[in-house]
Amino acid sequence: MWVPKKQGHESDVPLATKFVPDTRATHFWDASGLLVHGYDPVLGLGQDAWDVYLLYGPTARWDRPTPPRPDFWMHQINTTAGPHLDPDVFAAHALQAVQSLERH
Amino acid sequence: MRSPREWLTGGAAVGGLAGAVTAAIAGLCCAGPITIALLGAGGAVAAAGLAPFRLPLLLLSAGVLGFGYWRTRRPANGVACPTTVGRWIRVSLRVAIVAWIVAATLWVMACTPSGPSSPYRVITADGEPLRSAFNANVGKVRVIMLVAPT
Repeated sequence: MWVPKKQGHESDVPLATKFVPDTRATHFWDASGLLVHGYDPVLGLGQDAWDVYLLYGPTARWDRPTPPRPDFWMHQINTTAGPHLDPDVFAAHALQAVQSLERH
Repeated sequence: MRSPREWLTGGAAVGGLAGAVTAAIAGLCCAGPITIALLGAGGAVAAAGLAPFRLPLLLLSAGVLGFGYWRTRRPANGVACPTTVGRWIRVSLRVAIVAWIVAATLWVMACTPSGPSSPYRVITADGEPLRSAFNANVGKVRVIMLVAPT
């Protein structure tokens, strides 16, 4: 999800997508900041939600107007609402979720 | 970093200028004053920025090429281009024609709509199409990253 922060514009998105070449990834542009504002109350940030990394398990659904609360998340912004991003920790949680899914 | 389309348009513009300059050099034989003036115009265009002028440059260089070709082929007093460098002039003209073809091809490619559609989709007020994609992948582990594209 590419969001309009740090003077980012839609024209920057095509190039940015090349940094995530994984074919399983789908790219979106949050033109109006819907998710930037929508995730603020979900995560309890008290500020725009960006530079956040959200992990959802296999049962998560998006049925309400606001996006669903993630099972695990990390960030790189100035907040104490959640843990600061540690790629190894995030990857470990993601791997654990995948392995749990494979066992069932 | 430039996109492939930017490289094509830039290449067409530079190629158009190169074609004009080369054609002007090729046309120096027996047509000095006119082509020197064109060289000056080409330099001014380059200084002002090439991109908006790529089509005029291509047309101009095509005209100069045609004129140069006509001048080198037209017998003057019984001899075509009667100078000691006439052979090199004709070689330059051939190079200029190739440069022009390359430039024109680049320009056509740059103007042709690219094949694949946009590599991303825009979120609307109701969260679509992310919402549908999210729910379509229930049963899988999903990661969403909210990051700036800059």
